[in-house]
Amino acid sequence: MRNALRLAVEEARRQGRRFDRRTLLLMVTVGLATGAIVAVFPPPAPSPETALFTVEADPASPWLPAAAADDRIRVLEGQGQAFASGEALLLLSPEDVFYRGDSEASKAALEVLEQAVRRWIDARLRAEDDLDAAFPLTITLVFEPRTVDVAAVGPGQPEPEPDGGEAPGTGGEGPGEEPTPEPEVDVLEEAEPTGAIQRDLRPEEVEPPFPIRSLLLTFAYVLPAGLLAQVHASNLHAERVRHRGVLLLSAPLRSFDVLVGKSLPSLGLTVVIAAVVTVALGAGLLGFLASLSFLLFLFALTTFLAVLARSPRELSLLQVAATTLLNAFLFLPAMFPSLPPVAFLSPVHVVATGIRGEAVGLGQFLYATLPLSLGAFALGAVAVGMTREELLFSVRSGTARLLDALGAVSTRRWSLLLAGVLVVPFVFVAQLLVFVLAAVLSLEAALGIFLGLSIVVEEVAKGAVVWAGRRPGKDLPTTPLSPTTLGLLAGVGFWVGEKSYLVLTLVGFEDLPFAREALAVLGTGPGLVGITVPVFLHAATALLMAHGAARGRGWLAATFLAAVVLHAAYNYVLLGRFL
Amino acid sequence: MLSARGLRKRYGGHLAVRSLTLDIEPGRIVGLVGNNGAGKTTTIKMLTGLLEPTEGAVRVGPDGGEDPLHARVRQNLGYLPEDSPLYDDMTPLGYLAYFGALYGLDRRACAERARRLLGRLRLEERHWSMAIGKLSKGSARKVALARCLLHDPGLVILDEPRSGLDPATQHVLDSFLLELRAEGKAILLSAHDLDQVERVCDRVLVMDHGDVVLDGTIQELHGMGGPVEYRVRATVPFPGSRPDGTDHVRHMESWGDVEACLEAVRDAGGRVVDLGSESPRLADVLQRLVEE
Repeated sequence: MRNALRLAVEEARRQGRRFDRRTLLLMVTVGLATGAIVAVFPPPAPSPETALFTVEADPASPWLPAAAADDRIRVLEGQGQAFASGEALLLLSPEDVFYRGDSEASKAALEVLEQAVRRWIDARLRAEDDLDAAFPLTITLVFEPRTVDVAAVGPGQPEPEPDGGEAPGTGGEGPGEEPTPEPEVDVLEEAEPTGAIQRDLRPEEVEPPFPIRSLLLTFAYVLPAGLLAQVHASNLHAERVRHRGVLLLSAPLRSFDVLVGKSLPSLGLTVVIAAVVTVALGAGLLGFLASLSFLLFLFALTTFLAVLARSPRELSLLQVAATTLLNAFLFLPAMFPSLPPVAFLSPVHVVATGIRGEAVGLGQFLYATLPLSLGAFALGAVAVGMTREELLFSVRSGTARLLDALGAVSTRRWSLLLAGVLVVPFVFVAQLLVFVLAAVLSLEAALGIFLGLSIVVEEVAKGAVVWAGRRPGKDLPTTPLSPTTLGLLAGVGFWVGEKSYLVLTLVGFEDLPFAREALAVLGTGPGLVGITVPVFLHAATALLMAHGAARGRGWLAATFLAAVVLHAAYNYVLLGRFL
Repeated sequence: MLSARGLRKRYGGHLAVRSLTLDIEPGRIVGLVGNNGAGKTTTIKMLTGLLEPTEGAVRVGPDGGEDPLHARVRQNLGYLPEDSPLYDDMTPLGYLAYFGALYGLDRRACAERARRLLGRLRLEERHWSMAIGKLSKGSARKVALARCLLHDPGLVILDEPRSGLDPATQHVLDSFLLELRAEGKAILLSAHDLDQVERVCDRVLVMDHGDVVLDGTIQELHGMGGPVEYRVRATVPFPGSRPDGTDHVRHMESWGDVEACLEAVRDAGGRVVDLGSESPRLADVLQRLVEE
């Protein structure tokens, strides 16, 4: 590490000497862009000016404390005047919650109130000493869409909720009983000309009132990091294409020293900027650490691409594709804060939550940050593996060099097992990306695509490990492993990674019913069987592909297809029976 | 200083180096010659630890030495690649300070040594603080050579060091190499210019298609080029001679034949105007060996 630091210092000096008008312009642009984001979207403070939804509340309303505790809600005390004048979107009376059926803003405010009430109740229950007593029951609510003919509801009659229930989160009686507001504003649902209101929500129709301000503020992290990562990748790539890297590789430095030393100046600057942005936005320590997970991943990704690409043009193409996918992965899940298991897929949600001043559990933090952190580690390891003369300056295809690099870091049995573990974060990221992108389709289609592609992604990952372990071309000296050993190591490694992450996920969301149930089942015999049986599947498919790989590419392709079919059959038979 | 045994390198189905055994002692310059694609650069990369041999081993240093794959071994190794691109935006002194730091040299001592080396290589002082990108190719090559020697390595491996140099600078380089040999450095010199090899090397390895086809001292190689050829030029015809202008000339390989010719010229009342001998040029010897 001392050599890496030595190189980093010299590299920083060199870059410092190159400080010219162009660099200055770039820095000013980054600074202005970052400042503009913070200035245009200041951190949401719990003040009436920044709250999104104004509600009027009677001091005796039981929903008042929950509403007042939510930053998004501005509370005016009153008995209906503000609601009647249109200033307030909701009226919280001692008995009921009133909203305007003809106002999308009022409906959105109602959903936010529902979330606020849930959070408030959850927070109070979590504060209890005896959590078992606080959460004695699990209630699963299933909402059935239905059509209500409101034309049949007469004026002044109790009016049923259009989607078959009470106003969500209110837990009270039907809203037709309110006496106070004026008749012309006390409209909960207006009849459509057809006389019927259809509310059949599909995923693409869900418009979560996501905290756009805090989400946009996270660009203050991503924007400068993206620019610095681009500059870093270009510098690193120049070492490759002009063969200057040979001089570093023949110096008393390891590949690790060269890559880390070259990356540290840009990465260090990015971390400093992230720290400043964290302080400016008040995202807190967890927000800062969460930002580090995706910033590290971004740097590891661009470093990896810089050593993989054979030309500046190829580097640009790869970078655009990779950063687009990464940004989709970072921002799409974070747009669904009301669905924590989805939102916390992205560390950006942790940052956005920190900006809003809300708490994040340790499990949720790990769930959000570990895949990208491990992914960054794995990408970095592969990039180090590729930083050797015969791979760095080779004109072979990127795939071939990538496989050689995987092989280069898998020269011993334990490291091959580790390679099996380390591909898991990429598998999860890929699967989650598929899920996020498919979510805009119908639920059935999304589920089908997700399940189908998940199998392919998993088998591709295992196939890559066994192919790398077999070392096509044998350019790099290694101790060959038998196909059986290779397959077993890759399969078992994958299983270890997959199940470790599963347990982490469940622990992270143990507050949620499904996680509590799953954790409870894990401790039992069937649970242990359920978590153990997949090792046979993964070992079998990896074994199959390892023997295929030993006979050549054609055989590998054939055994890959066989592995996919076997995996699909396993899912259909075993999972179909359990689920 | 450097010992390589049974080095072999395979790229996929192509065998770049079949089997190479080599020793370089301190105070010796070993030349590595061969046509393009003979395996010279691959050999050099294995010797410097940049490439891992498919088979065989390289050891550097006394007492059995260590593998050059280890970073600490490279501390005592100076390597000049054939294509040695520098950082164009840096000055020669800045560039040498950059690499000096990587080799753990004290900044002040490094600057002192950098100046001395650049002076010995006759790089004009006004160029020391110019951007390398503005220097001529020959001047940049001198900076690269200075980088290679900056940390005072015991083992120096040079791949085509004359590449891009003008004749005057080539002469400076040759003198510099002989000075380094006198300082006790072990030097491996890969070169296409066989006259340079003949001038400065103690031993030569000839490679062809990944194989070492010849390994010997300069004297041994000269011996392999065939016998010395004698030449007698006289004013009168003598047995075996042919007219050449107003004179008569004969080439022969035996000194006995020379004596017989001298006697015949004398008997004919003529005069010997030239008596000389010619050894075969190393370049011709090597060319013939490679062609065979």
